[in-house]
Amino acid sequence: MTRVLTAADIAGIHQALAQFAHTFDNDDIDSLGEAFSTDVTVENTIGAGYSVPGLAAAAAFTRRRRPDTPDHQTHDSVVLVGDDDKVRVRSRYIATLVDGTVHAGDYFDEVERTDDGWRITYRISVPRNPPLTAVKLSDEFLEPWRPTPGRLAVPAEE
Amino acid sequence: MTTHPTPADLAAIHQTLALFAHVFDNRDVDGLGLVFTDDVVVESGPGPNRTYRGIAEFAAYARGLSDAAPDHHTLNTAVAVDGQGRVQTRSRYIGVKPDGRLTSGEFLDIFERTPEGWRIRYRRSIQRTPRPEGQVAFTVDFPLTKELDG
Repeated sequence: MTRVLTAADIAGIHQALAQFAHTFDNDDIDSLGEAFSTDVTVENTIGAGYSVPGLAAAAAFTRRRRPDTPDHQTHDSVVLVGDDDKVRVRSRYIATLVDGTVHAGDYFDEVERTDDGWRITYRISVPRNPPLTAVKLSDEFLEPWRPTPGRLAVPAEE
Repeated sequence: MTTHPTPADLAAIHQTLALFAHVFDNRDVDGLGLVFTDDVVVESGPGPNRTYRGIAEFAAYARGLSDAAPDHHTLNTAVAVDGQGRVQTRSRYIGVKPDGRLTSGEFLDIFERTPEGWRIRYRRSIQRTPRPEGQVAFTVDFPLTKELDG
């Protein structure tokens, strides 16, 4: 794959990222598939870390979470294309808690173009501020998401 | 004279703005060249109170940031083309500190299209909150009328 993605691809990727908050935060399990692929793996380093394999498990996770879990705001998304042809995105999130405080961090995503549009196939959430107990990821693991001139997607008109 | 940015230009400009948080907050000084031109001028505060001239000077500032420095979140970007044909953006930022408290303000940026892509040639950073009760937030007219060398 070339690093060139169309502006429409970039918009489609942003849409999948945005749909995560709207579907997950509203317990809209039927629409989680507008953010995630069927074979998505969703992970989080918070605490001892966890891994949720597959859209059905992600839906079950959404269904059983507490009603007062934070809302999510996603922004600062940077699209990267690796030598392995995978399209990756790193974003910032702000999680707004029911008591009005926030915590914030990074999303490291892999995304793929499906017949229905761009979807997240892998996500790992990493808290940053305020510091929380979390599993520390190695620099080697995070390397494919490090912005370099050779990885940054180049938006093209068509 | 720059014509109005195309959808691909806008995507690239947003990407450059998004990159700032990831490289600056991680003290990735090599990555700063993906955000700023080599001759970037960064000014902060209403005065402006502080001016950094050139990417090396700004990188030294980034390298010396304390652990108490906030993370940056950039959003609410509006794009304009000024009378000189320069592409400018006006964004909001939210700063999230390690103690969980927030700051917020504006990034006012003048962009340059380089052979490597869209880069920030000038940034004015103005904090809006927190500020004393009853005090109006400081801002400047947008697009900026700042004259740049070269």
